[in-house]
Amino acid sequence: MKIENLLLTAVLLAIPFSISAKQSIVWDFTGGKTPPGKWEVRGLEQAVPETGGLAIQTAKDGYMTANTDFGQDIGAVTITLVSTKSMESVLLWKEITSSHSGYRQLPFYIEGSEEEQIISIDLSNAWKWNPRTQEFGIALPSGAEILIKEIRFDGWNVFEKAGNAAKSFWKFDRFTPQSINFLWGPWINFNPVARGDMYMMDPPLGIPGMWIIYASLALLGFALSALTLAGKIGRAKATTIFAGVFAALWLVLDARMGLEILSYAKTDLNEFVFAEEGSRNLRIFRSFPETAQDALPLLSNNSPYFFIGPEGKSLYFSAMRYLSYPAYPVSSGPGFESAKTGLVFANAETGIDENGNLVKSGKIIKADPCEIMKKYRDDSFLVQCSK
Amino acid sequence: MILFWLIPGLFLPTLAGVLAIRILEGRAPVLFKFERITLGFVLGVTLTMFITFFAQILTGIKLTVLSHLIIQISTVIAIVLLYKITKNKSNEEKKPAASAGNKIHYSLFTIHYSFLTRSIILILIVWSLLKIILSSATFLVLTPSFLDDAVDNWNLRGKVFFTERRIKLDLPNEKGETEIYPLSAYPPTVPLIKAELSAFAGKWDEGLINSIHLLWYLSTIILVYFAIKRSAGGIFALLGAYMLTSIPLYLMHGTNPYADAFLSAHIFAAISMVYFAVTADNPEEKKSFLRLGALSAALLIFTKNEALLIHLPVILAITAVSLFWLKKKNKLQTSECVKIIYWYSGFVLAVALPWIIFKLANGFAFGNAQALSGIKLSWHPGIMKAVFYNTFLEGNWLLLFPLLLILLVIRRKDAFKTPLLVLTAFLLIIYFGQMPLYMFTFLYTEAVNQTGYSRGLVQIVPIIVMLAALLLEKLIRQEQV
Repeated sequence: MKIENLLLTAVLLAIPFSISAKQSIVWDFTGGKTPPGKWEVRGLEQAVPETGGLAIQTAKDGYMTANTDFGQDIGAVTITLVSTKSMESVLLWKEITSSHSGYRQLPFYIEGSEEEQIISIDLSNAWKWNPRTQEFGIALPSGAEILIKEIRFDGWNVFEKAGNAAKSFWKFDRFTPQSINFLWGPWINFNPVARGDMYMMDPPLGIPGMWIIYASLALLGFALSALTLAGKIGRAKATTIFAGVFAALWLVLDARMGLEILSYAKTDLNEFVFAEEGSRNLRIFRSFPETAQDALPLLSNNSPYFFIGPEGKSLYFSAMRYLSYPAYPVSSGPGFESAKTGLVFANAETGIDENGNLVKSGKIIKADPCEIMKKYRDDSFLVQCSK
Repeated sequence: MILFWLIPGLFLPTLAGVLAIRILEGRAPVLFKFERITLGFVLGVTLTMFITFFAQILTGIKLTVLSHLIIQISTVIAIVLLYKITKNKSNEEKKPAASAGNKIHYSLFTIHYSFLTRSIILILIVWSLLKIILSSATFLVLTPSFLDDAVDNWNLRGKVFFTERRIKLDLPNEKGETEIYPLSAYPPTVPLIKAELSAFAGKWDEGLINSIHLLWYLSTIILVYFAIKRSAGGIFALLGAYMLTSIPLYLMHGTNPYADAFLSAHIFAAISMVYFAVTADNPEEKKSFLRLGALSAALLIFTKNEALLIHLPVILAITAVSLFWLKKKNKLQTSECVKIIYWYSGFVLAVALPWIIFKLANGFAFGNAQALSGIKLSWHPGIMKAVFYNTFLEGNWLLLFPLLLILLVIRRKDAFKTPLLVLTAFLLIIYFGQMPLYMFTFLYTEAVNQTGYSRGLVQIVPIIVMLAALLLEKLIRQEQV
């Protein structure tokens, strides 16, 4: 077959896919509209269509759903809303198999804000997501006060999915403490919403990109074996082709992972090494190196000093012990009670009350008259207790 | 420039290592010159830190620049004296036996590689150097190291040794009460060399004390390069060196202050020497490699805890089988085998006994992250999935394990019925030997969380790369025939 014929065939085969280009279904709640379909509201005390959108207020947990017939593949949903309260909400859809009669659920978080928010949620990786579901909705917790302006459902065609898959293959993770134990490497997602969120989860959203590599190698191996058995090419040539493709894939993966590690270095250089003093951040430790460095002279002269770090993160205590040695931190016991100077890092629950007590989650942990010597970023401060 | 202190800080340990290696090579200098210097650095640092550790423990000497110099100069003098004695003993020494390493001379720029091949090689070298330089400069020198083992173990203990000028085993706990620090159970080579470098510099500097990790990483690459070059020639040596630098998790370990790349250099030296002993042409070379293997195996004990429990027994077992085979094939005489056993026993006991006594005397556990005493057996599900993900589906190892599996299948005769069996057996025993620990004991968390399992692979990656490169060489040469 000539190359022109091959190209023509490819174009003709592609036409059906390109017809189904990315499509969005929009439920617009503004102007007092109610999107078409049969709506059902349960538990929510007040759900009123207003000019700005659907206003919901409820003192009880509840949900609302609508009958759906998307008629296309839906990969993500985007909700435009206003909510001054932070809360965990849930997307719901009806399972259409006989084995499961209830709703499938996908929790998501709404950060409280006076501003309008656009929250995009990937559905393509959601457990048991089925775009042919006949009922879709949202559940809200008690105390919710929310204005829903729009819910948009997006689907992508096969070319867009392939493009997103290629982009997600080259999207890099960040340098985290676990990076010394394992690197997730390339992962594949088929829409931009999933791609944007993929490394926020452990394991990442989507499927491992290595499957693509193995599938390619398996297909190639199968084709070469068939050609060799049919006597079309020799064994040596088949081995050379396979080895060549294998080597090329190795180089691609090396480029992918090497660039990821270089991106770690670039981030460190930009955010820490070359950043302005007072705004240096190091990976998930944020301002910790800069804060610790600034606090060390005072802490070292008042050893043992007390240290309160983020809850459940012992690494910060270890880092302080290392950085300040031979001075050392304490975090509990008699040493903590007698220590006069201390550092609180990234612990928003800890502060000084009106009586000068050091309090944590409302509980007095040091009854001495304490005062903040210096405030730092990320809910951190240097504290001196006088008694 | 603080990194300048690496030169005085590492010169004497490296010299001691090079001299020790040269003595052990005897009449058959089997290593390439640069390979000897590299291995001299790796083994010399561990050897001098071993001596420093026990000198400090036994005499109470303060760990100052002067005491470091005294210990290191004494070590060098002792080795030179030994060298003189052994040289006089073998006064009949004629020309050195032909080095196994020097038989194959493939030069990258004289052999007939096409322009394309040379360009690819050049690009890969530049790319690899770029990755190593930028990541090591950033992670080791320019940013603080807030990784668990760095701040809890290697760097912390180094700073304690440097500050206290002695081997201090206790530290204040979170309540401020002083108690024996559990991680003092780890061999102190890594923290001690950091303390030594700081003693020379006169201060504790993160960039300086972390940069030693890059040297260990580069050393392993160089050792892998020369080892493959000895067996398969320059182009495959370059291929192997590239493969090793391309392994992402190994790069992360080489450019962060963890000790697994450091351990991997010792493991590589210890087992590759046994392989070369089996493949070498004449008895002198075989004995030379085995003596080097004996020193490498012994010093393994002083690297990380798992070396004594996991790697050393396997290396000793494979060495024993290799000796038996060499005797059976009349490649070595019984008396020569016995001498090699003496070398191994002497070196291993010289390091193991004092270290084990020290651990017992202080009540230290013998496990790695956790003590292995009182193990209860029970099945832990999810291990195989975590292992499969880490090995094949994540970005840690590129295609190294599929490549190894393919090569082990299609070149099984080479892998299992030639001297390459030394490497194959080591890998398979170490790999599958650890699996029951993950599947049936409390150590399953090390696999599920991908901590111990990953690091276990980092430690043997240089051997995997060498085996893969040598099997590839056999495959390609056969296809060319």
